[in-house]
Amino acid sequence: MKKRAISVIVVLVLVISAFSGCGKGNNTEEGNASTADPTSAASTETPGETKEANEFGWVVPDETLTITVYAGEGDQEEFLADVDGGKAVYDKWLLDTMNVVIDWQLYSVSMEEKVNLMLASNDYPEVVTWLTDDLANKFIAQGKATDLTQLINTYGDNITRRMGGYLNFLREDDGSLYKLAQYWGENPNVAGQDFGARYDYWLELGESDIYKTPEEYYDTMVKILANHPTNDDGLQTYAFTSQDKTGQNFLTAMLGAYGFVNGFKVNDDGTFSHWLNTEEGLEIAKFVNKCYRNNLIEPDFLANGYEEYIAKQSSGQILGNFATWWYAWVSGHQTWAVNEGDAYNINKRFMNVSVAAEGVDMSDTSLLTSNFIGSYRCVITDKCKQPEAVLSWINWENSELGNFITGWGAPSESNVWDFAEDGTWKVDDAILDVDTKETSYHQVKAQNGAGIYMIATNCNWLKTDEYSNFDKLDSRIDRVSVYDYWPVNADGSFSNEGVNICWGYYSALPKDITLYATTFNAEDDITITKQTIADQIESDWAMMITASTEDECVALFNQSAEYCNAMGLQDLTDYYQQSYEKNKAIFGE
Amino acid sequence: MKKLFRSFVRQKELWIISLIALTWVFIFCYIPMAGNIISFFEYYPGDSIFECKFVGLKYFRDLFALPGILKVLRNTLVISSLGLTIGFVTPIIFALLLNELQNRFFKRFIQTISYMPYFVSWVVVASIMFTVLGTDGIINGALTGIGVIDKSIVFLNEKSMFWGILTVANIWKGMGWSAIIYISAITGVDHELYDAGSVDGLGRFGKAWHITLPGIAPTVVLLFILGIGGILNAGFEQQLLLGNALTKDVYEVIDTFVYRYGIQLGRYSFSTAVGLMKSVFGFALVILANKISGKVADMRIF
Repeated sequence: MKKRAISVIVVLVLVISAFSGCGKGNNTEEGNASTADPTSAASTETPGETKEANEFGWVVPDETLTITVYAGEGDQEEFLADVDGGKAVYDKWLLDTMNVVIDWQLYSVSMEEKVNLMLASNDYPEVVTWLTDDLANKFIAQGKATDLTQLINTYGDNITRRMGGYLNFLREDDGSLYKLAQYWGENPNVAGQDFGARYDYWLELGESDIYKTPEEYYDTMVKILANHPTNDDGLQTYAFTSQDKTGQNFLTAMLGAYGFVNGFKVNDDGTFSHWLNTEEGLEIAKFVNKCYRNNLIEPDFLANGYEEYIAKQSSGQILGNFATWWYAWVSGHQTWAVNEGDAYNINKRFMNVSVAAEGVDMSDTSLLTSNFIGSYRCVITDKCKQPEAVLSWINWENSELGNFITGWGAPSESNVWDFAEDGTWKVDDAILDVDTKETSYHQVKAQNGAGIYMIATNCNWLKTDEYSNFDKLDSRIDRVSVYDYWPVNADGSFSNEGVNICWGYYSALPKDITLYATTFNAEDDITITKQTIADQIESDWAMMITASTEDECVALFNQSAEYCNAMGLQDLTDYYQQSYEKNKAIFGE
Repeated sequence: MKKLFRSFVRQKELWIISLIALTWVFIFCYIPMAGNIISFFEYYPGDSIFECKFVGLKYFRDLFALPGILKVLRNTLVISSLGLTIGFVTPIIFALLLNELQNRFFKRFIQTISYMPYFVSWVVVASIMFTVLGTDGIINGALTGIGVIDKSIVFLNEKSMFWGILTVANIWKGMGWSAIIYISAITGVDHELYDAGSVDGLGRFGKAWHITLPGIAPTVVLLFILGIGGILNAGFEQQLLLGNALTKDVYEVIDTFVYRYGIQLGRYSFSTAVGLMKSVFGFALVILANKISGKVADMRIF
């Protein structure tokens, strides 16, 4: 009897609780919004044809347009506390000038976790941004994302114009559109993967030409180390280190010097080969192994995190930068100029240098890459009552002026830019001094709420080209984006001497790798294959480059290739290639 | 049933006192167990369980089909076993030693110091380990200084040393905290027994061996049996923080493996299946250990 009673209770508990949270929720009504017809939006206040746009290009609605947006992981309390006061300034401008209120929501948990909870509880706001493709696809698969296929034609002229054919990458196989890109566009950076060195130490060598290949880079670093065997604290110096516990930075930079994309070589016949299955891959492993065996790589490189990496470069223990460019920027002159004050010598900095592998032309390298559609997405959910109005707002964000205001804040005397009398966008003279950028630019921008609400906008290089027109932008700055800029002379050179030193030896051009973008679905077998191979390579790479002899390195390389091929490396290669072919067809190439 | 009801009525005050705790346990420990059902379905958050495809034991099979799973199981069992042996005995020895200290102030001081590392996060512990064991660290400095080695050893890159380093770190962090329960048990041992022992000619070691240890044996057995239940929980943060690409072969345990192949890939059903498997296995081990303990030492926890 007792057993039966307990069994009944346990069964009841399991059954009731199993199904209590599994219902779809009452979303039938909202679900209708997911296939909103743009022509039936009469009941909503849509910025439309009958009203004139204001000076900022926005048709101000009669009723305040309020948009609720979940924007990922962050500290909501800190955001609302508005320490810089920028949120209040921008909110006021939005309400007074545009009649728009943005309810920006952040949560201090991982976005994946929060989105899953939102989906499970059917409780999410009108717009969700900063999603990965995988998370955006969950909204789409469950019918919780608004169909934008027709809406984008009616209300999205700026988005379609400025994204051009790239918009097609966001479409479903049947051509429908449910997600927008967030933080998309051409990479405005000058440098990417870097073969950098201390500039002052390089000058000491008296070499007339900068190194152009990895081998020449190696020789240069050997000479620099010979001149500076210890740092000011008496610690042994090294040329390079790492920051990810795997030494992947060496591999990524070297693959860039060989022109590989996503770890693959594109052969002359258009087929892909994984680097483990190429001669170049073996050369890369041997080169990095030589650096390690000859004490150019710090022995503790696998124990470092980012902080240690920066600290060791700043302390003068690491004299090169075999990684992404900005590590050396942060740890180098940016730190030294502050710490040393008037005693700081402008030559004491890292120069970012691009090199091409032997036999590879610089134009064929992939040191500086640009994925136009970026990695983040935005969906307008089925909770949105006015999808037309919300899309119109996102479209305004993607107008040239809307783009600039979203990133740099509203024009005013107290901001870093304002309208000139002739209507051009004039920046404050104070921001032309790069050395005070932190206070004169970033701080002032923060006080004006710049960049706090970017729903589905770009981080594009803001310039005039076939997609955009930024002729009104102050010509004293270049490489402008929503987050940065660089002052230039009339001839286009950087006006700051230090910046010219840093980037004067970087000649690699941006390589558009959008067509190589590949997505994976969590439950597909190929995703597991990708993960297992990535794990295997991570360990194998570390072993290869730390091998005690070159022969051992070669043996480990061959062993790794054999093992990974058995694990399905060719299937993975085929998958990437098919994705590339599909993207090419989508883009119309 | 009537007997149960009568017992409830007789002890109603105790039940009422326990009501809040029982409610908490029911809501937060028992109801979520129903979520285990997703390990048998291809579940995506937001979908109704009725719409999900039933896949039976697919995710359990998937775990064992992953390359390297045998190494992962080996690492998990070895690291756990080191914890269950060396890591388990150390706090007992520490508690016994602490009990022998005569100066109360010194004893409390040592005890406080010893459990402080428990509150230090693994991130900080890892940072300390890097500093101590790095090529420019204290250990290498000392060894090269006295001429034992002529070139620094990168300890954290050595597979052969990883389990030892991890065990030492685990002991350093948890020894003082784990000793609290033994110190508490020792204070419960009848002092008359020590007086009797003195009369019988027992020294300090003899008293510890013949009186203190048997006195805390039920606590030791209880904790050991519960520890066995967690044999598949070999740690997580410490492996990720102290391990690197060269030591992955020896640091990867079930939890880090599931983190990568389950959570990071968004495969919740798979993660749940592994969690369920671990719990069932742990529960079975607890039952088994309890039975063995009952037969061999006549001590059981239920």
